[in-house]
Amino acid sequence: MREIGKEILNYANRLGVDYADVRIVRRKIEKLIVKNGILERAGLNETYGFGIRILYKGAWGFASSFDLENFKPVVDKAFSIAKVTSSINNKKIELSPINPVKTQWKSSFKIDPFSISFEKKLNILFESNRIMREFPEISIAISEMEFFKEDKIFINSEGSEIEQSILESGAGISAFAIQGDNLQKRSYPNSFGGDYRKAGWEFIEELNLLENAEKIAKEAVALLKAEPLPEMITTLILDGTQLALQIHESCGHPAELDRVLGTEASFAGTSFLTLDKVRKFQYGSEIVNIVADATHPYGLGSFAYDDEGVPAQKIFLVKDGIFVNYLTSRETAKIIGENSNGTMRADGWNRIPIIRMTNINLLPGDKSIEEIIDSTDYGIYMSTVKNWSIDDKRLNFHFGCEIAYEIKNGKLGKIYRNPYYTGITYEFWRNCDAISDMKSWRVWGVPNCGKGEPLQIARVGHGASPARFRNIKVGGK
Amino acid sequence: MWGKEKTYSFLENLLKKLPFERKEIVLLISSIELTRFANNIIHQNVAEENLSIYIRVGEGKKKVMASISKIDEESINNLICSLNLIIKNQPEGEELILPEKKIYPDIKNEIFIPSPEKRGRIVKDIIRKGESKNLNTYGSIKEEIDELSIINSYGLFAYGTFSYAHGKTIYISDSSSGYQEYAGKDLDSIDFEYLSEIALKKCLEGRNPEDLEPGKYTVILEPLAVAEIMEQVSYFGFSAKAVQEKRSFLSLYQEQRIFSPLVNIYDDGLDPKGIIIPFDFEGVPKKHVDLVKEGVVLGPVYDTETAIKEGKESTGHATLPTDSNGPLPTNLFFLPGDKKLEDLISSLEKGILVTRFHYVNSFLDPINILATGMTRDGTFLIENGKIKKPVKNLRFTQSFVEALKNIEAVSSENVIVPFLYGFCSVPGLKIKEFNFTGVTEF
Repeated sequence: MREIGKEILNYANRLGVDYADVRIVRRKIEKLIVKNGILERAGLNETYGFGIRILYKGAWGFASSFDLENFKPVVDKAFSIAKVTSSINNKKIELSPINPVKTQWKSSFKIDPFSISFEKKLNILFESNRIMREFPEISIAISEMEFFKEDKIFINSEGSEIEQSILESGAGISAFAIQGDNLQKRSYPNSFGGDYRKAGWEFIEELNLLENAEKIAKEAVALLKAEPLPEMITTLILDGTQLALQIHESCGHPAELDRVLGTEASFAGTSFLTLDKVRKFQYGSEIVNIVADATHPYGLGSFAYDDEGVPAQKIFLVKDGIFVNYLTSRETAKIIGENSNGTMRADGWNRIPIIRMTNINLLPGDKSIEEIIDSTDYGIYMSTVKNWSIDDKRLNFHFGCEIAYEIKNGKLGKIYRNPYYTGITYEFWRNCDAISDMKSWRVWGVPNCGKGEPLQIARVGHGASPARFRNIKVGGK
Repeated sequence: MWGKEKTYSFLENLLKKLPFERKEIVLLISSIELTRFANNIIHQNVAEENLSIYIRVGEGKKKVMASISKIDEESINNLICSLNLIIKNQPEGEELILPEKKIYPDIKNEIFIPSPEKRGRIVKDIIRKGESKNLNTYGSIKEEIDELSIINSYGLFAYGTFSYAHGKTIYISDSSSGYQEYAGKDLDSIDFEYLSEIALKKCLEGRNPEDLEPGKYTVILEPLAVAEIMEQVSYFGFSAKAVQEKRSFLSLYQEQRIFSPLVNIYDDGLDPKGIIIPFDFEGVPKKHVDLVKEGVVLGPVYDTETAIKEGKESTGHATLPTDSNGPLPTNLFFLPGDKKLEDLISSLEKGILVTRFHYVNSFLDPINILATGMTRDGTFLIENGKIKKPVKNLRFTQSFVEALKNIEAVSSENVIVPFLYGFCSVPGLKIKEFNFTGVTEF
């Protein structure tokens, strides 16, 4: 990969570009889904190709192809696009500086999941599926696993040559109970595919899918008879899975500097965290500390270098409740007079790098989750993402969960179906009065974050432990 | 572009190499170019050449799917080894069901050559229009060409080329935004002058929006908002897989009049009013499927697997083999009415005009398609048949099954926009008692 990458870069340099970078990416994904006792999908997906980004007279051009042997027309295309762009634009793009580096990095794992037999993988999937289907009310049971491997090289005209190899594993189970128009679902360890880590087969074993299958099936059945959560303003405790989504939508996305500067305006939108707010805006209560940490050992948003060759970093986005930093690229950092904090990633070889969340983590507090529930006279505890929507500046949100529990005198009790909560981002975070400690903190893997045109899917992480919020509007259907 | 002859020869050779009882290969070669602009400059200008091969094979009651973008001998041989391994190590389940050989209508789609220069000239004009009003301009223009071919072990071979263009523009002032988008068979079929004029007008008229109390209002939804409704209704409701799993409203109300009699929806990949896609990802020719007729729910759409389960024939709506959702509508038409959108507005005593929706999600209660989402890029209060003032964006929480019941009028305008795997052509709608549940700050 390195040699062909250099050849592509040399060809680009000979065309007279001001800057160029080449990424060659090989991806392998194995996906197994057992649905209602049938292997619904046994899939392997492999892609291989390259993308070249060219800066010429202050304007970008990008082209990509699966055909590495015939790279010259692709480089020519990127260059001609950059020329067209520069002839139209009246502003020139500049990049913040970086130090060139030549290095290699591999994410850590104990057991390569691609070396595990299909029989062993299928045993867990079929058995967990069987346990869920023991309950006649369960009409759909899904057990799934996914393994992701990416080898990539980044070479740029400033002298960087970076090889990285990433391995990720994930799994999850879901039970659906349906009666008439009432559809109830419970998932473990999270919905929409489960949980994912930069890890190997050892993570799948840690998840204990078999031990949790009966519990979620029972809960899904119980939810069929549960009442919808009444609408009220109350105290709300969110579990880690739901908080991960809350962080993703209401902190991660609005802190992306490309959104703030408007380059996503015609698609996903902009951000309420405008440039005047940095280091001044009270984003949350004083106990709210949120970091972007690309150095975390197992988060899906971890790497050694981003797709511009900037080293992985850990920075505060929110410190003691104050919004203090954006997620930046070389181009956007230059606009605000800073250096990039390394968040540019592309979805494979064929898409251009854009600012993506790394691991956006809410730092843990100092009380146990048991103490937080004990000290809540009345409130609602919600768990597991079911639906999500937020406005195009990331202010008004409405998130639904799979299950809610009433909290009365410090104890979890009655369950409610189809619960949701809604609010305005900064008002919600300012009402945070307790965050549980490290014992219940983990980084949740979110492998399906969509952004950009053409659409790109990123794999990101969110560290969270359950937290409590006061005066929140909740309801149910 | 490989052309039909080269494609057939490649697929035939590859099919012979696959040592399995039943087998299918889908070859998709696509060229996508896109120019994005923001703050009055082009900030992203990209071109990509993709090749994907999707292979499904089956032995007895075992099956497996794989996809790959490398076509050298070593990669293909490795893939065959992996397919063998997975087939051998799985318990018996369901057979891989493939369609028989088909006959295709003779359709020749005109294919264009993407042009960054042409896109650049269009962008320049759109930006100039915004600058003349001191507005910032944002948007994107996309050109896509696809060459799709399918071969299977029953002798089926389908080959087709499709292309389309899609443009969108948003103007933003210090207190408002205005948006419009259209898709067409090429850039020339999109009236960018008109598109940008509409977006500009919305932005200028939307300045200084005021608060409005949430509650139930009659709404006039412009076609882009209706497209969002159709996407949710199609995804959650019109797939045979969703119906068979009893997670679609169709499984409760099949052939019942549950919508307003003004609702007529069909799917037709051959309708020349849309963008023609003559067969699906299994190579089955697209059939005309009535989904709703005068308010009676019909459909759903089928692929081969879901059709066989009911002893029916596929309607030609299979999605890519990597998609677990099952069949979906891809060329959806909501029949227009006979009154213009402005007549719908002038007939309304009090209500809200919505340009489009944002971030719509119906997973909380998918059978009733209880959706929540926001209005975006132009929301206006209508009083006594006239647009009275712009209002801040509102959150709605509304069952789209109920909303289609509550339709009072359908406009005569139809707009084509990208939708799920294809396109939809949709009018504007007047809907009573649309439930707004929250507001935002802009």
